[in-house]
Amino acid sequence: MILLGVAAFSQACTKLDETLYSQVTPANFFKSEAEFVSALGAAYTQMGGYATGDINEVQEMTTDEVVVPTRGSDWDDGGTQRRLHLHSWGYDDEFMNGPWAFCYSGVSTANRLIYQFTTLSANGQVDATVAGAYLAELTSLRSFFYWQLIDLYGNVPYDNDFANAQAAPPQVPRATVFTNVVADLETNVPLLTKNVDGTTYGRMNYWAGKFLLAKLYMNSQVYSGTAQWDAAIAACDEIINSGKYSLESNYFANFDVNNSGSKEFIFAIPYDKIFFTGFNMNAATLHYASQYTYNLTFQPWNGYCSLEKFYNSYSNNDLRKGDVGTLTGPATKRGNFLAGYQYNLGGGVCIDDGADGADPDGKPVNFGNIGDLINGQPAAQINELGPQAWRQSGVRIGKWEFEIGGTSDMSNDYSVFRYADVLLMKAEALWRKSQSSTDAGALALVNQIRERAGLTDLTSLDGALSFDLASGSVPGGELFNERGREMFAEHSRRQDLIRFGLWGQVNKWILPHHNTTDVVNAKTDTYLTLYPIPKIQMAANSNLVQNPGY
Amino acid sequence: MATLRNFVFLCRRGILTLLLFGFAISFACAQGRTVKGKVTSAAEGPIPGVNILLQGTVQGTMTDAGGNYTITVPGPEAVLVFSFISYTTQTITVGNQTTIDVVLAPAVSALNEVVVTGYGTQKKREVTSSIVNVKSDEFNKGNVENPVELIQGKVAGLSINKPGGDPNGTYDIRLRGLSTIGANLGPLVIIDGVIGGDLNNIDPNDIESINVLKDGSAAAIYGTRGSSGVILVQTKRGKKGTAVIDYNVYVTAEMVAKNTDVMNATQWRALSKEEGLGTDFGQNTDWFKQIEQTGISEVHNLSMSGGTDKTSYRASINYRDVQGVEITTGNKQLNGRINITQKALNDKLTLDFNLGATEKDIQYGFSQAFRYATIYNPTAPVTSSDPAYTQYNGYFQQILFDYYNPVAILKLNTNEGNNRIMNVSAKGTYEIVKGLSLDAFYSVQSSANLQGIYYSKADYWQGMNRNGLASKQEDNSISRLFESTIHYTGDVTSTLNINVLGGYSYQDFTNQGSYVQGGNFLTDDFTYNNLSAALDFKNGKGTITSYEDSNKLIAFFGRVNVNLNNIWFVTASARYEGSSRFGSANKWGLFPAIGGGADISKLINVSFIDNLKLRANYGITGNQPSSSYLSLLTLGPNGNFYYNGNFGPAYSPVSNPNPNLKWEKKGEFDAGFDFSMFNSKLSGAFDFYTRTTTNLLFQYNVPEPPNIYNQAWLNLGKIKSSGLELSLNYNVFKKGNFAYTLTLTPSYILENTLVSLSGTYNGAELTYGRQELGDMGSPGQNGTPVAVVQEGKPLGQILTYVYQGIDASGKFIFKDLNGDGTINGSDRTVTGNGLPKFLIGFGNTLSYKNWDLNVFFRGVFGHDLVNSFRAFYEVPAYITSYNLPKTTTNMRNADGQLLAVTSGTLSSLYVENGDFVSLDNVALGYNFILPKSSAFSKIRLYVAGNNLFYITKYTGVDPNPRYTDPETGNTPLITGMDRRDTWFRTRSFTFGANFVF
Repeated sequence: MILLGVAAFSQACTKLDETLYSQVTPANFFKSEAEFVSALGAAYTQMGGYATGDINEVQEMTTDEVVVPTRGSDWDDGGTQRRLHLHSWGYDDEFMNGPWAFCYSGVSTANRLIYQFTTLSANGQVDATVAGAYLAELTSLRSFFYWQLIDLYGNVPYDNDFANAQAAPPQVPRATVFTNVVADLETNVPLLTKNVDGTTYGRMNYWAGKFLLAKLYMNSQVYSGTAQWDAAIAACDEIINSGKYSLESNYFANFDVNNSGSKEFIFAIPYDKIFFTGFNMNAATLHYASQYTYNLTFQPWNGYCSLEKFYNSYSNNDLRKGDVGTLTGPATKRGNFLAGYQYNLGGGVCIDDGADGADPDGKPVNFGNIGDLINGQPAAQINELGPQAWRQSGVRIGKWEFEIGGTSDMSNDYSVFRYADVLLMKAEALWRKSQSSTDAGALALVNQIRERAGLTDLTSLDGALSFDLASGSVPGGELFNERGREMFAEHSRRQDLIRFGLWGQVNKWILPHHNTTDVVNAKTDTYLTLYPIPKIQMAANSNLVQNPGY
Repeated sequence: MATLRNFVFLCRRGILTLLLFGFAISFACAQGRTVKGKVTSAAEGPIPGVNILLQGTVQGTMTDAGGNYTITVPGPEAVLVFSFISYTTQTITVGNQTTIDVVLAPAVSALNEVVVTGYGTQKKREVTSSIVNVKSDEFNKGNVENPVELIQGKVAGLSINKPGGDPNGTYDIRLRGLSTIGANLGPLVIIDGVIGGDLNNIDPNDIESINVLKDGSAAAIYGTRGSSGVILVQTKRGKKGTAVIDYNVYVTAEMVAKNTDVMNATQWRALSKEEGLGTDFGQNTDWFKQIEQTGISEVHNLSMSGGTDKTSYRASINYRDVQGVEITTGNKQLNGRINITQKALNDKLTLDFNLGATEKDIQYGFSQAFRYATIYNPTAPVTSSDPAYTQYNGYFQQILFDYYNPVAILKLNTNEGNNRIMNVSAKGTYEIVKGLSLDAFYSVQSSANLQGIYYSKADYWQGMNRNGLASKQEDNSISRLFESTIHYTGDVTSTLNINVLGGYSYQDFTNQGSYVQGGNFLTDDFTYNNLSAALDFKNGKGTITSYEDSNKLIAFFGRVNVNLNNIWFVTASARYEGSSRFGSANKWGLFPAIGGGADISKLINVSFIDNLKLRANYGITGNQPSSSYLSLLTLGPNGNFYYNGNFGPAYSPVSNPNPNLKWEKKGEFDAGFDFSMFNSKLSGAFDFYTRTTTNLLFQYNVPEPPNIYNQAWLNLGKIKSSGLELSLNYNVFKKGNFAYTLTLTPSYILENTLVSLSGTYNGAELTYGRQELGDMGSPGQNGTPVAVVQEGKPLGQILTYVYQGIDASGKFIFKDLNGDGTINGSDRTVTGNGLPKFLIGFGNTLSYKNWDLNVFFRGVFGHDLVNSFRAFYEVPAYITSYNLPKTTTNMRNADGQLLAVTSGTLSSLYVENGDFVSLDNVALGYNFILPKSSAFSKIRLYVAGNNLFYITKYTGVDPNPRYTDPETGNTPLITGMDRRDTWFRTRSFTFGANFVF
């Protein structure tokens, strides 16, 4: 027996190699075209977290467009949502780290693939031209993440050498990262394909690269201290003049469940309820009882809603606004908002079993209490930021069509870069240069957007700010308002507010309160245009220096 | 299942019992001559209850109250065996005597006992490390489902803990506090030589003894797996010259000992009226009554054993039918075990064969039912004939956040499983020359676990949204162990004895399994048994995963024991072990240990001291990471990629590889003494230990880039702990028919500090500093941390606001620690610690004539608990949706105004002292004195109670410590969280009988 045992084991006596079963090593990978493509895909799967992830929280909840009121205990979460809206976040707040991790994960994946593809190309394992196109694409996609990083955090590490990376990369000044990223794009975008078809959908093609450059130039003043309006105009013009893109005749064609391939999409995330998940706007915005409006396979979370002043910035004949459900029937016209009474599929009004005595509407679900009168006055749509916001308060984000029988993974594609924004960017750049409220070029572009929305043409770009009508007309005010109406909930508002110098006016759009400490806490300091370097990152990298003010 | 049912039929409660009892009385014995006599002890006179057995037979008797006995023997060659607990057994050949008076000598000191160490045995007197041996007669009695319950509270420094009464729950076992945070937290279990044995594969009835290797020196022989201590389990084996059939049966009734203290319908209405909130549905429903039951369980254990000069055997079969206190829960288990030993080649070769097999059917139920029974409106009905509820199969439901009818959860859904464990081992030992032997051991342990869950189409909680939802999970594992050792023991000189061991060990492990989940069924009838009927799969919505992984360990080890003059003892050992899980340059590690002891009582003569041995030792043990492949860069599918109009798979690295991954290292110094005094009246052991863990295995946050992901498994950091342990055994008195023994096992943790969690990785300085962890959760407390981990501070810190009262407007007042005028995250501080400091077991054993009584108390002190039910629901405004703790009506300000907040906020108000003393175990037994003619050698009846009461100030359901947080991946860094899904605490009463013949 002893002999048997020794014989059986002498071979394996001291060998300790690991045997893999459900994973593969790089040495056994990159053997076919399909494997190569699947590796490239890793750079894009990251985008699944863009539409409604933490990056959405810091780009939208902090603006006059979207808020999550604290309805009793729901969404109280230690006040983190309220702090976002009041601009009183701390460096350890819940949502500070998510965007950082999201972006650097994108950067890191791109760097890894650039290294791997370069190596494979050098070894002759892959055709150099094929690899070259992929490298340009990966560099451009990486630039997208760096754009978000300098936009949110300012000075950030910029280290792209995967093989010889610094252990704890130090920060590079915001303006330098900006210059590097612009240079990366200017070098690589010309190498990208100009095709606009199924092969480029959801990916960085030439036009997406140009759009990204336009975005960087538009915010150049903010990022680097030097304006680059002409460069922005040139980039927009190239897209406009290519004839590859145009406005859809129906605004909502961009937000339908089946919106794939919209003529306006320059860079889209091809969300799919099965293959590409992560877009959960229905869960985030709808009321619990809305489950029966759409026969959803889950109970929504009753979170995101829009603010009253923002909602009112749309005129009633604006096709983008949508109409209001009443006690006699549901809303019949689709809009950016779900407002008023909500109905289930059977035709009855949705019922909220948890409505408390303070809610003026009681159990029938009525978003924003529109049409109700309290003491002869229209009721406020959100009575307070928290903690006792009514459960049904606030109009909801209805911009994206909610699929009947849907899951919390929506199939609507999400436009990261949309043609309408090209028109609005160019209009703004023209106006910035001319400083004229009646800049004809700018007005013509803005009015293209307005005409589609069924609105009369603007004659002046100035106007009272939608969140501060009392302020009277301010230069570019109407342009700012129009940008908001068109680009609502598409991660544009925070940049607009900062670029227009309005970020510090947060106390004009925050909700009414009876919690006076919250009002005191609303912060208007200029340092708040940048988010803090997240605490967890400070711990992981001792070379990081915190942004001023935090 | 079929086998189980057949067996149930055979063993139907009580029938067999009566049958056997009848046998006992009526069975008559063969003729012979009579021997009588008296058994006495020098110190205490006549001894009643002494067992007298005719060697080689099952016949025997007992002494009466006066120490007298009479026994029939076949002839002069007969041999009588006299045995009594704590006396040395005497064997006397009858010859032609007719009266044999016997004087029994008190058993020699416990220091002469043989204890099982790793890879061998040693006389206790020679042991230089801290090893505790618990024998079957010292085990906890009564309702024992898991072997570890046998020694709960018996071993100083060993905490065995299971909050709540889940019959399918697992135990947290912690030895000497927390020495690791990223690797295996529980001790290594070794069953009859099988390293990493599964305790679920042994029935408690089959266990002979349990040894606990407490310090690093004792455990070092187990190398990379010894850091959290080692538990050695020996199963019972047959003995030469006997043929014994032993049958144990017991029936247990278990009930909930404490429900959460919530309002009844009347109290609910009063608060609802005061708040002007909530809907009164007009009923009076006790939701606890609806989901709870008295669990009736029965356990049968039948064994036969015996032996000749050449062969000994023991075979047993165990059957358990356990009902949980939650309706629809329980398990049925059949376990069989065979141990055979055969000698051959002139007794030079010994072959051991062990087989253990377990088959267990489990009804898991849903722990969430306790949470929803707690918060469900007591005025709501359980069911309703209103057509609105037809879609819920008539169960009442309301559409509110996180609120579901608990009865519907349990009655509509299915959550069940099946576990099979098999262990086969064989060992051959060959004695080459006297004192020198060589052995080889091979074992295979395999387990297969299945779990199936089905949520009905009418289940509003999980099933309805998915139109019925089924899942099935299968996990299989197999481990093969080969070991070979060579032993030498002998006298070098007349005063110097040495004992040398050398060995080789190879063990590999393979795990594989799969998980399938899909919904959208036409009918509920399939439950989880026809997953292809789930339309989800047709629609691309189902989930399917499968995996396989493996790892192995190879080791060379050796040990030398030296005994000089029976006074001086030295032990030195080392294990050189490699694990496939470490990086290629760090596969191997050396784990040495050294210890020494001296029998002081032999050097200095103090009259009242029988024995006093001082000992001190130092040993290094390791820990390996809990998963494989962490050192390798591997790729796996990660989402999809839209490519040329279609979605294809995207592949990316699975994790950050750490090619430098190595073992976590723990060095431990232990010093203590074993003593026995006043003629063994008082004996015990004392230990002081201090242990330092370095190269701590932990998943750290790392910068990204350069790393592919922002977390990596690294070896950084240091934990330090120290403590004191005492074991006392005091024979209070033994007079005539009455004996009383007291045992005490206090242990105190002096220190358990996270010294550092920082270091250098790939040239980057990683600083952990102070990090807040965990999350209270919803409603309303997402993003609220519950623990703080800080370098230089104790482990286990609970983090909350500091509660100061309720202000005039009815809001909470929290202490503004940084004085900035607002209350935010930086005003949270340490308000408790979830790890206990002081543990004590307190046992009392009394015997009077044929009666014996065991009373065992357990105390745990110094830990705090966050009462989650209060922290969430002690909010009057919640009356609109939930039922609330009774204490909610006390939440008022000085003016009597009810608390006006709308959400719970975690504060020191809910951090409660968890100190408790529990009456863990009371057992009263009666041993029948059998007529000489009886075929039975023993009949014993007993009643026992388990967890009879807790003395505690804690207001939640169970004050036992929470060593990990189930809602945060069971990390040991978050402690003291009494979560809402914990099963309620139970108590049980057992009636049992034991027949030996």
